[in-house]
Amino acid sequence: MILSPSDYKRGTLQGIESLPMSSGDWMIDRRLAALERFETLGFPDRRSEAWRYTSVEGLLKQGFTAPAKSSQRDRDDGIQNHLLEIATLGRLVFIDGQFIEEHSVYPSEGVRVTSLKTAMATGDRQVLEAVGSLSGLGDDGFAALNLAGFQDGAVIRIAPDVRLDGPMELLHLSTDRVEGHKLPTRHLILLERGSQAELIERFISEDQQSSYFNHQVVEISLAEQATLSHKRIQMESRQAYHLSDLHIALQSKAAYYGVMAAIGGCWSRTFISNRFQQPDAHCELDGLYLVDDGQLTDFHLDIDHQLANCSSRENFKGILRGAGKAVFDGLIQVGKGAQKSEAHLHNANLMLSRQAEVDTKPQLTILADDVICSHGTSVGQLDDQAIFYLRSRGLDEQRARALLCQGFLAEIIEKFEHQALIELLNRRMNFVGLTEPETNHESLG
Amino acid sequence: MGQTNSEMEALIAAEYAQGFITRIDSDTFPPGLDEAVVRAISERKGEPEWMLQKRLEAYRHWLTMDQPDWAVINHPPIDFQQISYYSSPKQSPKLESLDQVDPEILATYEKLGISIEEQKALSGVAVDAVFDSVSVATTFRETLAEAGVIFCAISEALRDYPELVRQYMASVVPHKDNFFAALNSAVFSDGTFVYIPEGVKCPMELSTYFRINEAKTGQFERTLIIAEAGSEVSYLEGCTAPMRDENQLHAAVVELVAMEDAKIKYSTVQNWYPGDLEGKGGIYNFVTKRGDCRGDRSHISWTQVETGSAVTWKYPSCILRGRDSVGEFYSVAVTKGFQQADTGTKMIHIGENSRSTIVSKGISAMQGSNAYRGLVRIAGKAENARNHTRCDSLLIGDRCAAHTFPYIEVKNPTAKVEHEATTSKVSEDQLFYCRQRGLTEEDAVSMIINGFCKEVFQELPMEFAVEAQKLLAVSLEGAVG
Repeated sequence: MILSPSDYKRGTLQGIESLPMSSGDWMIDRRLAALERFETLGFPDRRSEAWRYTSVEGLLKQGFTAPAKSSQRDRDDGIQNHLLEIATLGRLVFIDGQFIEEHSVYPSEGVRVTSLKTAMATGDRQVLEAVGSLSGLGDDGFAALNLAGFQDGAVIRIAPDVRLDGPMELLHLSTDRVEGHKLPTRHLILLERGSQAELIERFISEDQQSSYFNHQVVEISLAEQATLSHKRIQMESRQAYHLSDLHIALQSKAAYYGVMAAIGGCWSRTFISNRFQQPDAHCELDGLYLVDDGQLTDFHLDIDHQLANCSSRENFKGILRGAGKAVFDGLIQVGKGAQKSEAHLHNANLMLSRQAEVDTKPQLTILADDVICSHGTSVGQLDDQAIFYLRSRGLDEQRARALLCQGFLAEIIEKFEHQALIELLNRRMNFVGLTEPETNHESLG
Repeated sequence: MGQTNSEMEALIAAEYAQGFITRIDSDTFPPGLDEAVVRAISERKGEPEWMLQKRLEAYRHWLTMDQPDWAVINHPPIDFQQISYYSSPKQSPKLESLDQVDPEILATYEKLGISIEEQKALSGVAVDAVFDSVSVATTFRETLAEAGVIFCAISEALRDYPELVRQYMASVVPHKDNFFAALNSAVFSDGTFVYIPEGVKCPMELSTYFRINEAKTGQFERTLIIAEAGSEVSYLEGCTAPMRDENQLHAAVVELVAMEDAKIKYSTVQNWYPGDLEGKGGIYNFVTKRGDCRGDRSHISWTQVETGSAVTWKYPSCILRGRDSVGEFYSVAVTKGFQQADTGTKMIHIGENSRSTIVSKGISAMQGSNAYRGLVRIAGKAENARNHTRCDSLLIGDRCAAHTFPYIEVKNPTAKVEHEATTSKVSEDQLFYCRQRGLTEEDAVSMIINGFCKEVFQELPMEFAVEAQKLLAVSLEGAVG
């Protein structure tokens, strides 16, 4: 069923009415303003440069609607199956887009954790006013619709000079109950001056067949000298649609280290916008993607250097198999007066099959002169000589290819640091299976 | 540095050396464009009916199109009704030799240092001089004729070889291709036609010097070069225009067709009036250049040195249809003052084992803005296609801008595509090294910049390489330091 924009508007309005709203009219006003923006923008299409290679038709055809009011849950929701063997300091669990207090644990000192739903119910104006402070009303129709209709999300605030000595986890679990639904959520992450934290985020589908639309907008604000290490793994069902918008703002001497893996979903797009709000900040982004039959993965980076002495480094690598399609768009902007900026971006793609397609578009827009900027992209295949070498050492063809694929992504996988995450990724990506001769397609010799 | 400052200031203030207007009686249409103008141009040229129909078809399509706005360029809107679409220097009916050419025109070339006699006598370059819109002098015709090479104005070709023109014109750049190509297809004034028969290696470098002269006269050149199987040709295009306050529009179309084993080398040095240092005046240059590697093992190479024009919008492209075909693009683009360049290339790989190389060097100085925009597309059938792209930007001054927008689309897993880009200023270390070896700051910068561009310059034919280096030096005078 294809919904019209006015259907989306009506659905969102109903959603707004059902929300707890002791915060008064101003929050509703903002949602309505976002809705108006959605009406103006509509959904993006391929005429828009940012969506040139990524069609949203398939997504819109699904006609995802907001879920009915909080559905019944089982006691443990299978959460036990997805715990990591990592000593985490805390875990925030979202099931079907809703914060589940009883599965969540978090340190009480130095960290303030709450959910947006609670903030709305208690009228926590300080929290709610931060919603949309980095994203605005939304740069595209999806983002605007998210602000208008979001239901819940995490609020994590690390107090000044608190250095957490272990990771916090954000776990997003989707069950079969969200079939046909969209899950608009938002997170607010704020690191106060001099604080340090590590965040592990995972997106998991309990049911590998369920089709739903996970749309998340994350606003991350790092105050002076704060450091955040953010690890994100998207491994949703192969029927799921996933859209993440990350807005990162860094103040003086703050550093953001993000590493992203996108291996699930039939359609997955991650947009990362990084703004240096003060000089001397640093941003690093690494990412990997693996696409197979019927999958589209899109990474969009917008690294904006408007102030002097900031540096950024981006490195994204992907493997394409079957009739998979990958899109990469990495924009580095250096504004007037942003002298001594340093920015480097790299994107490499490994094509394993005939039907795969990759569209990559790194961009540099530079308006200052004392800068060092570079970008590089490559598209290639496994090196026959390398395969020959490995075979001469006794590996069979398939193992040799698997080893090379794993080696190709290794520098990104290593950035996940924790052995449990590295193993999870290696297991999930199944490098040996990856290089098995394809059944439906002609594989490359 | 202090010492050289005053010299530099003098150089900054230096007026555009080629800025003079040749007074000559012209037969010029009043400004404006409608079907009657298109018909009148065609009639004036004595064109066959089919050509008129093609022009009209293009004109009608153009009316339905909007001017593209995606490039990183800003300029006041162009009023297409304020442009005169035809201008022809008055001339005696048929010229036998150079003596019959209007001495003023010849004097113009002398001033530009491209005297036809000199070219004829010394360099062995055949020059088809396009003065505004009508070719007035053609040299070396006989030598070329002996080899079977056709090198003439497109209006002549329409008269003498209508079937050839009809077969190939618009086969590479159809009128629907883009806004400016449609405009050109409707109103093209004149241009160059080159036909190299099978197996012939063109005995000399072919060259056309363009000169925009009449005030308010848009120049709509149309160039068509056909290289039959096994042939080879090198074509040089160089331009310079007089100083004007109003912006002049130039929308040329260049089509190249290379059959089996043919090789076309197309070199451009563009030094049109860039406008003054306040950004007033200057040429608007909206060009569609495309080469079609139709045959197996065909080879098309574009080399350009762009130092002029207020606005440059130009993407010389290669369609690599043939197996083992090769496309190359070498570019140096310099922008200073308020110049804006949005330039690059497209390499469309269709044939197996097709290869392409892109080397783009952008230099932005003062408030200049330079954008590289390129597309590398590997189609599903292009087995073992290979592309290497390198684009570097050099920044001089803190108000300039450099942009890089490569698009890479790969639909074949056997492809190898690499793209690298860097943006930086002249390195302090390099400068320091040169300075401590006794070079002045300006010489040091000039040397570093020449080194930066060398990869492209060495692709230029000899005479052009020298000219290009001079041009680069002149263009950047006053901008460095």
